[in-house]
Amino acid sequence: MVSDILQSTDCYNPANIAALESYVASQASDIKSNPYNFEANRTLVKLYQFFPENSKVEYQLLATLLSLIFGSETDVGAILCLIPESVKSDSEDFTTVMTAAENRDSCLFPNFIDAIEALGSSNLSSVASLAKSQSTKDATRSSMLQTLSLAYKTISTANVLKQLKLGSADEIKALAADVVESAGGSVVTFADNEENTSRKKSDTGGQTGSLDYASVRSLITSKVVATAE
Amino acid sequence: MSTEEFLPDALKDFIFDLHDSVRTSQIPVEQQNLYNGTFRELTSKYFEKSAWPSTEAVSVECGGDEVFLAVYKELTLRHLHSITRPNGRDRVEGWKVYEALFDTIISEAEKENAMNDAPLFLLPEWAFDMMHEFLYQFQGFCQFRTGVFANASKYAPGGISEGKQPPKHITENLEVLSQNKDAWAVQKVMYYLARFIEIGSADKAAAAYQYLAIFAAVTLSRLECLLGDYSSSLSALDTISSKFIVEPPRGSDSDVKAMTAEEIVESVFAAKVSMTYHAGVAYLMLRRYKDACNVLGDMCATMRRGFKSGVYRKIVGIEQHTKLYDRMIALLAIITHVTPSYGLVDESVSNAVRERHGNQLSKIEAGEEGYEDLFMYACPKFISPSVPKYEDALTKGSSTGHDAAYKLQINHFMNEMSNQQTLMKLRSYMKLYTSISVEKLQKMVQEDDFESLLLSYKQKTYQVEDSEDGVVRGSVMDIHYFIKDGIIHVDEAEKQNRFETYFMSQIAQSTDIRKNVGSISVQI
Repeated sequence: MVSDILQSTDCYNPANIAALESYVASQASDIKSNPYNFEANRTLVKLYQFFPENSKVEYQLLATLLSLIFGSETDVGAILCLIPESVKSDSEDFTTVMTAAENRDSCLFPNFIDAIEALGSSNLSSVASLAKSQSTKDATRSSMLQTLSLAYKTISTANVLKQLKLGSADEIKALAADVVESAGGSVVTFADNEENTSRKKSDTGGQTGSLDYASVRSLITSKVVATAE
Repeated sequence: MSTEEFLPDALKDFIFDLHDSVRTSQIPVEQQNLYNGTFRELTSKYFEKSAWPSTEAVSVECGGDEVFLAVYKELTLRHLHSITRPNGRDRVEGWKVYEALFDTIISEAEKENAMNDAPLFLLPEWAFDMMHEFLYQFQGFCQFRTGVFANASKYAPGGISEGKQPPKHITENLEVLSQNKDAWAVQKVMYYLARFIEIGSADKAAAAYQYLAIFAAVTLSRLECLLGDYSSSLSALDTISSKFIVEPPRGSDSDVKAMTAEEIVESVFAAKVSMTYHAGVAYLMLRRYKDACNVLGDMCATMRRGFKSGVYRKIVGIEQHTKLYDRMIALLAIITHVTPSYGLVDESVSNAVRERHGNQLSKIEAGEEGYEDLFMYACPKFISPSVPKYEDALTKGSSTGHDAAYKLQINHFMNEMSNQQTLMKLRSYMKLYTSISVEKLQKMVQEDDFESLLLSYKQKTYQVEDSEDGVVRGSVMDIHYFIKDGIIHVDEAEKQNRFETYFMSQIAQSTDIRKNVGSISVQI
């Protein structure tokens, strides 16, 4: 039903708000059964933008928190651009979510984890439940490991445990097996990727491998037009 | 004497011919001459400062055809709005014109065999102008009603003019707006655009519906950008792909070939500029700097060559395009400053950025604020789509400023830019080394949470970008670094020597010089 709403030409009908709120709540309560859906969450936030008399801070919070925990780093920015400043500043929970988002963006991981955990005390049970869930803990730490793997080839295990507030090296490997090569001993080694290894130098003596026909075509076209004039 | 007997013969002929080209003959060349030539000539001669005749006055020239009269009304409304300053009633009337027009066109399209029979034909340029003006009036209306509400709020308790009687125009406008809350409703605006895209994307859709679909997509992209929904702004452009093929309209010459949706947009310069600008803003706000540079840089390079060669002299409304060009250059100034990277934009565009904004960028490097001013100059006029509570305007006032929508986007942008100077300082130190210990670099940079800074810089510059293989992730930095065993290893980005660009630009310069020399008259 939500997919029908999203594909409809009338998806911004206020009658759709209830169904989308229910869908956002279902993602927050059980993300495994109801996978994260940025489009649905964004559509709800936009409906609130169009019809502010129908807006509910709880669902704006949930949509933002879901994007912060389960979405890409641009998802949370995209959602926040649609939520008025007055909503963000009037809610203590929203202030905490904004702090969490800033900390995540600045890679202040322990502070980010603290902010998420603080939301576990929210008066809104849906927000508190999402903040405390194991899925949230796993997703946030997994994404932080992904970020670490961009910059580090090797990093001390103690540093990783401190940043991610984990208890043992076994938890590291369990969270992000695809990016962690080894996590035993005193060092965590990340699997090779484009960002944590040296770039291969070109051996073509400075010559490019292929001609950029687009730039050639545009230059010739402009000259042909100018000559015709 | 009836009204139509006062119409000049040239006007009667124009109406007859235009009706024929829209509904019957559907010959693009003829319609081009009428739409771009005759309409402008007659406007200039008879209606330079007045409205065109009403639909009732011209009805007999087109047999009372409702579809054509709706199209005619929109065309002449555009002219009227260009020469007058519309008040509240005019704006509401404008909505009714578009509502009637779009309901009529959609209704025609939904009839059986509408696709095969092609009941109407509009040039791509006409289809774009229609959509563009539709959104322009919507944007104007949103700003108008927000402004009326804000002005009225000054007279509410706690306002700066509390206790005074509000001027008549404010109360009149409030009354008009209160009586027409459904006018320019954002969900209806979005419905029309989505419906046109749906109709024109269907199999065997007639050319006119396809053109309307394509430019509805361009317009929807612009609307989403104005609302601050940048991901939707980019998604709206999915319709404009090389897989969307538009067959020539039935009145075309036999040698006219099918075109893709991208080629259709390219053929309407104003559409291309508008689409590129708004896509560039969306990419910037979504932290997709490479994509932003690609689209904005290509467009600016093309426009720069066009301005230089004089090709754009003949384009009507070139002043508006020039303004967008200036804004795109300002956006590029921000992006190329934040992510300096060799070859991201054409050399000529880099020069243009330095010429116009070099001073400002130098001040930013020296530690002064500057990104906000640049962005405020370059960004579109964001709008608030919600309907204010008009009944509260004079009694309770406004709890948010009239420019809340605009400030929201500015704040988001400034949050992104908040630690740029620190990151640039980090970059400038890293460029000096091929390897350096983390501790040593931290002492130089002198920032708390240094390792977080290293991580954050990596994360922010590892961005989503479009490629031939779809959407991928890559670095936009000109340097590459990673940390191993406590040591930061720095590789400078591989410089790509674009020899063909160098030779082509030298050939182009040589051609210009020879042309100038050739124009010198020599008498011996």
